[in-house]
Amino acid sequence: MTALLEIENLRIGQGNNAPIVEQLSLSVSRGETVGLVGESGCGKSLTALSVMGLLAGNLGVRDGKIRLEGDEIQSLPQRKLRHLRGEKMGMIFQEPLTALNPVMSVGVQITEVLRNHRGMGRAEARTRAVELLRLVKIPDPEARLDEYPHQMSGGMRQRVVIAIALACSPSLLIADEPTTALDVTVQAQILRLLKQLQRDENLGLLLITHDLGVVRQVADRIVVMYAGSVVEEGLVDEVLDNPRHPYTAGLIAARPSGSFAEGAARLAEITGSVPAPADRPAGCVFRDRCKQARPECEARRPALERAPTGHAVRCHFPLAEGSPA
Amino acid sequence: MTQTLPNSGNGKTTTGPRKALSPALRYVLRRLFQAALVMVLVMVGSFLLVKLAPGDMVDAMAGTRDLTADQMAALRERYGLDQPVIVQLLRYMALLVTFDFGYSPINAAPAMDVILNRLPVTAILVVCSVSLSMVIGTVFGVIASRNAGKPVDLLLSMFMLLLYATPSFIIAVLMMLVFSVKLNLVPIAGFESIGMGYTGLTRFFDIAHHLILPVTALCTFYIAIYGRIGRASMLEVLKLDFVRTARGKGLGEGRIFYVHALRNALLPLVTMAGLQVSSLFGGAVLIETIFGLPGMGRTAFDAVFQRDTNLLLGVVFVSSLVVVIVNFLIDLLYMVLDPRVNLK
Ligand SMILES: Nc1ncnc2c1ncn2[C@@H]1O[C@H](COP(=O)(O)OP(=O)(O)O)[C@@H](O)[C@H]1O
Ligand SMILES: [Mg+2]
Repeated sequence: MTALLEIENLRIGQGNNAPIVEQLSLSVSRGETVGLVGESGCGKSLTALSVMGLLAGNLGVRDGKIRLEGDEIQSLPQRKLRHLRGEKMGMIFQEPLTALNPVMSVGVQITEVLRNHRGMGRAEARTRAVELLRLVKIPDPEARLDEYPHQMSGGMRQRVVIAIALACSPSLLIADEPTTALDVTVQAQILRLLKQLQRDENLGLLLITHDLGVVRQVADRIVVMYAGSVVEEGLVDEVLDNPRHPYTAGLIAARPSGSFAEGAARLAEITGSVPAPADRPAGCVFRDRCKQARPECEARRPALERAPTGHAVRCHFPLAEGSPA
Repeated sequence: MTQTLPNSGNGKTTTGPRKALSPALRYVLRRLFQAALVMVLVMVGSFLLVKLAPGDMVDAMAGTRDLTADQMAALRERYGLDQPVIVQLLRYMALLVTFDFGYSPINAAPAMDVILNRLPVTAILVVCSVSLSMVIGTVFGVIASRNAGKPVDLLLSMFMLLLYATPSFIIAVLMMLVFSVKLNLVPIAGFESIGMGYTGLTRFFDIAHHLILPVTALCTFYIAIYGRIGRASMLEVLKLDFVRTARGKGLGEGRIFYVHALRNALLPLVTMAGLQVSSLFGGAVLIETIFGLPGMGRTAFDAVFQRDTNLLLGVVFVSSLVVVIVNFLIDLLYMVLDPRVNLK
């Protein structure tokens, strides 16, 4: 598998304040689904937005590299970057209810992508838009094209957003908590749809979520983030059955429906909350909340160490393989 | 597979104007009924208020010629002013339905004729100032928001604050001094040149020439209002999620700004236009007086001070009618601009 998206040592910050995201590296290959998990506020959305080049004006990429099919995103001129968005990468957001323009019909919002990137005419774009709505399994697509977002349910709107993201057949799809705002039954439908589209279109899918169950269901690899950086990464089954970072183990244990990993439930839930970027402790950023913390953890920040299997962990004292604490 | 989930976004799912016509039609009919009700209430209310005030039409007549007490009593009987108020009210309403406003003693003519004579003056004044100030103000606001925080924005904001803070009559008098008295570029007062017998296009340009200053004076304050609302509204809309979606699909900034954002940002400006019409129609007394324009505000002012109750009530009726119709049109425009408008 060749890497489609490579993020290397990314640092995102606001002015001269403490960086919000730091030492963040991850990659997504074609045809691969990567689950990016972590508590809210740990920097998942900012990471995604920096890939799209859509960080809010007050934020910026301070260091590191983001490459999409070899093109370095930060060094591209705005015009080139604009073409990559929509053409090569698409993004789906958390709030389907507000993600669409309320005063424009769904059809216009889909066709304008095709007309913009592909130079299609009105009729041709409309035909393709109907195909797209069919692709995301919206019934009666011809009639739906003329509807306005408020006439659709949340699930339907999210399907429209997916159709927009896929309009120009991008190679990378970023989905930022695409189902969080939806009802449970609709969540399952949307996830199934995403997974199917990912397979059919051979997409690289970066799926951001805080639901480990979702990751287990659809992802090939998992990247666990804590306070702005990656703490553990590897194949989904390997990491979830065998967490090596105490934070990952805690996340698994905190799942309401019990744990995947035998024995992980024995770990107490993680107490406290994610520190704000300026309040992150020196050394290991997780040590304040870690049951296993020792003086060593305060002295120096652990590096992300990768085992030959590809399973990587950022911890001085990782949980033993095979038998979590 | 059909979604049956209710959307939790903005309450009930509404059937848009495109899908079914009948809710839209029912909406229009209901609004018309409301408008008629408002008119009846306004007229009953103002009639009673006028009757409460001391003095009546015959007193007004007595001011212009000498009348004996007997003559006055005879006149009161003739105009039905000796009847109980409720009878007078019913008679008045019956006449109103036929657009008969009664006699205007200070003009010695039917009040309807007087009003029809003056309505165009105010109508032209209001239409010109509303459209001009809305267009100029919106352009200013959009330019300011597009350059938010940059020198252009600061300059425009300062300029708009100046327009906002200077009373329009001061601007009127200053313009009059400079452009009429000093430079002699435009007529100092009046609606058109009297006694020149202009017709057609010549008359049009003559009137336009006369109205440059008053329209400008009525615009300045509202340009500032539209500019400020437009800027704030654009900046607010640009923060919304759908703008991020639009950027995410690789649209150009121009399309995002002038198509996606502006269409949403226009809504409060349209509301403002409705308010502006309501407040200028009859509220432009000061400017009408300064520029000697025989408009509705001027007419109401004279009617009040000379106790010409029929004329006053007629002006109230016509002004309210215009305001009600304009608001109705604004509602229809809203329906076109915003598909979410609840037709309930
Ligand atoms: N525009 C911004 N300016 C400053 N801080 C921001 C901005 N957007 C997000 N943040 C902060 O960055 C941190 C990470 O945010 P985010 O990436 O949205 O987290 P999440 O993992 O929940 O998606 C949060 O602490 C948030 O408050
Ligand atoms: Mg987020």
